[in-house]
Amino acid sequence: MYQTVETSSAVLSWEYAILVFAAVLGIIQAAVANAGLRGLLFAPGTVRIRFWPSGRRWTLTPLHFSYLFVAVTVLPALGFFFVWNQYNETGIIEGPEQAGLFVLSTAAAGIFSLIASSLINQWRLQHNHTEAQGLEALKDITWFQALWRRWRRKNR
Amino acid sequence: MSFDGRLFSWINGLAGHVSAIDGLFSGLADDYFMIVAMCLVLVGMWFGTRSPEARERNQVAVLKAMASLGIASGLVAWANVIFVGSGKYPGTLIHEIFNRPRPFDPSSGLAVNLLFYRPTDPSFPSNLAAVVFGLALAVWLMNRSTGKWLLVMAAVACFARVYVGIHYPSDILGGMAFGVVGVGLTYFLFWALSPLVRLLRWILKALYLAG
Repeated sequence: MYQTVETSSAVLSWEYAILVFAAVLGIIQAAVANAGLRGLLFAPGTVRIRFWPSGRRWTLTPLHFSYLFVAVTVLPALGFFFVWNQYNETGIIEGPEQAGLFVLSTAAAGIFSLIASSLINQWRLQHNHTEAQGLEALKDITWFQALWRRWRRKNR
Repeated sequence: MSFDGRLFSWINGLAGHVSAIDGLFSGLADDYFMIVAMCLVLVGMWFGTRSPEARERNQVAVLKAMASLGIASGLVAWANVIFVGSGKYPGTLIHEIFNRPRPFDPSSGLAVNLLFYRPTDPSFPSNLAAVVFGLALAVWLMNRSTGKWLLVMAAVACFARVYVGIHYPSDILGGMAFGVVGVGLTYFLFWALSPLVRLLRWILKALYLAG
């Protein structure tokens, strides 16, 4: 049914890691948009588009952007996993290696999300204040701002 | 023929009629697809709830699911090493059970519609069943609404493994049993090591990664 391609184990591991990275990045964006954690969003905020000449308007919220992001990251990655064994019949990633790669890729995607969202939202959220702790604080400020404020409070 | 063999033949006999359905079940039986999809649900649970209380509860469920996944997989590997790899139990029933050839092996005497590559390890127990049921059950015990969907995903993946011809139904049941034991051990460990778990959650919360 499918053409089988022999691929080396290192290439398979990289493929797996990159696909998991992309999928986790997308899922994090969808989840934080759903939870209202604005400090973790990649989306710039609400965008209003007015079409000419009809005058029709589209309002794209961060939730819409996150769904778009899911469509270009999670769906293709899961699609690749769906046909993985049919394309790579001879190359298997063993369970422990698979678990290790998943954890590493998830950690990398998490760290990337924290850094990228902090840079993207730095100016938009810089005047916000919050007393919330943990992830809840990221509804109003970025991760960098949260860490910086904690460090300043400690050294005051 | 045993009940197990008859049930296998009935389920696997559904294969080979409609290529689109065969393709669907081949994908669902994939070594990576369902487990990655279920782990993505865990990532979503970690962040994706508006109420902080519900989110914290979900995060504990995620930690338990991850631990349970690892423990269930470890138990299966340990059982294979002890009962098959160590060579201590040759000719015993337990060795025969854990060293059972796959259904497509000529020794089974079954006519199999094989829609998958030929795994070389023994058939019993299904490692995937242990892992996905361990994960799903750990979540279900703390969050029924998400947990029931994860249990459905686990059941679909396991059915697909029989459909494509690489596991007997009893392999799946064996895997589920390992998953249940994994969840039991996980809950015991979380209870026994609760100060450590609380410390881990406190650290993650202090770093704005949880809570």
